Amino acid sequence: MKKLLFKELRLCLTPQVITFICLSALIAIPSWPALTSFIYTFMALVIIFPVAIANRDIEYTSLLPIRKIDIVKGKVLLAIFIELSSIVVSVPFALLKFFLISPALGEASQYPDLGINLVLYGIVLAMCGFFNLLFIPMYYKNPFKTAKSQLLSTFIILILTMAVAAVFMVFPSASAFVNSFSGLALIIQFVSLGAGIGLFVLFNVLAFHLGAKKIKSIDL
Amino acid sequence: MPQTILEVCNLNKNYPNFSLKDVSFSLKEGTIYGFIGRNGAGKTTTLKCIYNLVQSDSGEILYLDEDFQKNEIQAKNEIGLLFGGVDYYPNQKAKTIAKVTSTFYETWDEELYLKLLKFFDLDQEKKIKQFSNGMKVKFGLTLALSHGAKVLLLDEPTSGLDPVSRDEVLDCFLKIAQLKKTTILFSTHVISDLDKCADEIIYIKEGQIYQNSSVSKFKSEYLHIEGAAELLDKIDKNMINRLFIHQGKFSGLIMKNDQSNFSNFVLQEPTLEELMLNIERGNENEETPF
Repeated sequence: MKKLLFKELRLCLTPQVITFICLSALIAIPSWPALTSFIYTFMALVIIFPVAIANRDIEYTSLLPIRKIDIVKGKVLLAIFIELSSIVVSVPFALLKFFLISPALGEASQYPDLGINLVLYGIVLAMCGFFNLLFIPMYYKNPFKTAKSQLLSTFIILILTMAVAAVFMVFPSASAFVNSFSGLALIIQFVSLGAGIGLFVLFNVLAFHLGAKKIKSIDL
Repeated sequence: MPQTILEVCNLNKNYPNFSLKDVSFSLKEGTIYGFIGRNGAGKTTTLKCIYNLVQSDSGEILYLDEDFQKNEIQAKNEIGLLFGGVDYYPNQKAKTIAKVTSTFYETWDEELYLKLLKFFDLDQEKKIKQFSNGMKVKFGLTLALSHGAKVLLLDEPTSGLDPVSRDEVLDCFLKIAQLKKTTILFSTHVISDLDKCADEIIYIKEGQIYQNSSVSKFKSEYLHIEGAAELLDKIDKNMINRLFIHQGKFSGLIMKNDQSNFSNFVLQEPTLEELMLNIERGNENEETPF
């Protein structure tokens, strides 16, 4: 697993992907739905695959002493790395927004939003896992073409992002609840984060198994 | 008796327009095999089936008498596979690709890797896109040889190489087969390469093994004949396969059993290329337009 991730990081992590990972820092922008800053994470995921095709990554990887399914494992690990890196990059900027920027702007920055809290990160993790579950098996049906899997997965995740953001705008009470520090709200926050982590793991395991099933049946 | 390293047993793979049919052969330690056949005969598909990149419909691959699939990672650690040259990650430095590749092989020999770079005159600081086609092939061979593979499966390893580089690569094959007892199976369209270094020929035609024998046996049935074109009227032309007339001279192939009928002509051992053309194009005699 370590070797596969090392290979992915040394050969497939392009500067563009690193730029997209860093764009999760946009979470610090005031009056901007926090969830949308992670759209760039999905864009990073979407561009690594066509770049890999252009670099004939699958041809190289298939010559290594690994099983066919390890090709999928490598890419799932890279996707997880990108997603977790985006989250890690966003945390200091989220704290900056929470403790400095928003209080400094006062009322001007107040609007109904999911906000900066553990529920946000729970939802982001679940969405990242869900994106992998959508994209990876679809992509490995034919790993030499990405258009269909890219477009479909991005479209679905965009709709989902907008839907989640809209829920908190339509129901300001939900926004107020998840951003409060009451005992129940804190419990909900931790439970949401835990559920997000659980779904992230579950979706990635499923993404790997379904992708592995697909790659087994194709000729490289 | 050299040990059998790899055995391909009754390999079948069906595509809509092509099939591999009961492909079987075995590779012995320290032997160089030429894997030949025309384009689309099934050479690359066979190599991919061996390495489990293409799922065969039926058949078995045995590596050191054990099922390849059950022992896949260990077997792949001891097999070097190369399709043409290294033409992946054009913007990466050769040393980055080597570094990544080395982490996957338990038996990677860094000293040998550096020696091979020097032998092939390669600069690992260069990016892959800065390599010529020949350098890409040499770098691929360097990677394949640096992990001390017991078996090398090479698809067109000498394509794109100039004659001097080709000679270096073939010398390298002979040395590692002799000194390290490495088994080499390589496909090529430069048939003269096989005349230089192959011990055995595996000939595949339309997805089936047509012949599998030593080079000397492969050549044993025919003789190359040549002489003045004006003498052709005095002999039975039908006995000459691949009759070629050019600038007042003729050449072709005759069956060894018929050589007594051609005692006045120059007879010599045929080249593998002539024999391949004879297999593929039979007796379609062609005359030059000159």
